[in-house]
Amino acid sequence: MTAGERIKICGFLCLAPAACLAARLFYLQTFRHGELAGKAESRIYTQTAQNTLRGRILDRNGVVLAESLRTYAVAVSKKNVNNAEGLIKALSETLDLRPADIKKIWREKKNFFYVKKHVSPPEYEALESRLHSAGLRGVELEPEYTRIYPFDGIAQDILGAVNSRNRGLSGIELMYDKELSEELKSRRVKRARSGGIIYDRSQLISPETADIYLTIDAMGQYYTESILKKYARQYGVKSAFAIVQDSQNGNILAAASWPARDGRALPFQFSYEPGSTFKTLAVAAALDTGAIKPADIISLDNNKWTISGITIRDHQKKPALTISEILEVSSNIGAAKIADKVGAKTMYAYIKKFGFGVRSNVGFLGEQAGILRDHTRWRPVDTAKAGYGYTISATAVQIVSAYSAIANGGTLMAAHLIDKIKFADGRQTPLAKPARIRRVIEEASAAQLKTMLQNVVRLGTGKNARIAGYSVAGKTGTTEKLAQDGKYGRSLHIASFCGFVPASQPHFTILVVLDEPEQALFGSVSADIFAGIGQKFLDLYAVQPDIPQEDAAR
Amino acid sequence: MKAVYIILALGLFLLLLSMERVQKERTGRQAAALIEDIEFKKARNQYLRYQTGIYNSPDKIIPAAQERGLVTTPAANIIILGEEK
Repeated sequence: MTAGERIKICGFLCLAPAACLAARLFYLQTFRHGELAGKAESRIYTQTAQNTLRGRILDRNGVVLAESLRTYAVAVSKKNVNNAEGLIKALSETLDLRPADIKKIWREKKNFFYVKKHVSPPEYEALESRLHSAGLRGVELEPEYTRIYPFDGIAQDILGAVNSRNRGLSGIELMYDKELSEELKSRRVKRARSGGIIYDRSQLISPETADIYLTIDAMGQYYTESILKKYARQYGVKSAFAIVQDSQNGNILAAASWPARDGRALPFQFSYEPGSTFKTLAVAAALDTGAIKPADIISLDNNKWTISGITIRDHQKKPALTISEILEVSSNIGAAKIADKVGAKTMYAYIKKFGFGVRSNVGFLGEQAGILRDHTRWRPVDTAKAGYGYTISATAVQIVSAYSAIANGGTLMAAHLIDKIKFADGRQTPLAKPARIRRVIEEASAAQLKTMLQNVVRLGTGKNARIAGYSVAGKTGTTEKLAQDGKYGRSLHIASFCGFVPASQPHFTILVVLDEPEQALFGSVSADIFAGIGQKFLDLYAVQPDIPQEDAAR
Repeated sequence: MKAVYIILALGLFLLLLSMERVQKERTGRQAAALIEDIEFKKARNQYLRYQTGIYNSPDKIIPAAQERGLVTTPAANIIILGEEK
């Protein structure tokens, strides 16, 4: 054998295994590619769960009311487990689960199953340290998000709720679901030999969600809710609500409902006949059109006045009252006669100008527009009744905005609940810019009305609304509710009070409504609640007293 | 002889390639572990802020303050600089 032949044989022997290997690789890559690629895929890669990341909801001062908390879903991949008994013990002890429950699901599932979702970081830390120290394998920890409300229960009716997939169900959560939420679709991630997931740069999340800032003041909201709750329980009301508005720019500072339920914000969703609180608007229309003068005296016709065959009654001792006294003692006949003097068409026009009959600018989910029939369908008695707040229905936000118009000198401002939307890239969309809707009454008429409403609190039915050191203007209201037989029942009432403080330079307009209290309260308890809420807001915003203490006490 | 040298060179190249891949994988794992650690610390930080938020909630802090006799300062006692009284 020549040297050349020997080299050829050696070369062949060296190359033969490589050729076999190449042939085997060719076979695997060509004929068994699909099967093996699938096996490799399932062994190396896994899918993370779908989840929704949501932006935050904050109050006007940047206090977080709702946010998404990073939590973990703990799962087991049975084929990667090296010590089943040890793992079950570790999981049950660190996650506070019963071993029997884990064993049951272990038997039922073929390979992958979730043990617990929404595991908090401290629990996760304890579990991971336990797994590491005991050398246990087969646990997968998937990041997820849980919606949390740090001020649990505060503004619950406005904020609303989310479902298990972090999508808005009610309230602001649903109204701004598009801006707040970002779908984190199921993603393919690499799995380590131990069963854990190896995250790479592509798994890092740069949120594209927006933060929603409300005009609500969390602290003021708390006080409003707690005062309302205390009185609502004490007087056994069916429901109660209160709304606080900035008298000058229309921003809603608090809106509370009792009983509180996710997304059930009664100040926007409940419309009712406003009763005597509406007398203020009849007097406003009459003063502004010149139908009456503040010094005019209206006869009460022996407390019985018949119009369109229907008799309106009063319980006043005096035979006649001045305009201010009509508001002070809340005379139905007086208010009815004033509305009659204004006339149906003008009365209707002023009610519209004050913002009734249409939804407010807030546009809260389920917000009511109230009922305001066209004046062409009014009988004379309907005009008269409109003077003391019957035959129409309104929401709290409409009434409070109308009173704010009187407080700020006659201009109806758009009500706002959302202050701004702040996007992840830093852009901001301000939504609470003060917006004048229209001038409703002249400044002089508003000033005259303010004095009359101050008299209601100083001398009349609204005495309980007095706040030491501050001038208060407002009006009580008691409405008989329509019973099931369609007649006004004397046993079912709505007691309310609407006013603003300080009257000299109004900061806050507040409306309190108690629906079906166990006893007829005639607005005095609502006035008490008004004073309680007003005092807290004045303190919170450090509004200086505008009258000496001794005058306020009188 | 030439073929043997080529095979040896090819083997050496493949060895270097696999070493580089192993190193890359190791670095990737270390980076992944660090990322996971950062993410976890962020989550823990957020959780602690959440817990603080719960304790800061007005419905916890105000009753506790009232129990201790703490009251809100009346606005009359507050002096705001630059604002006429």
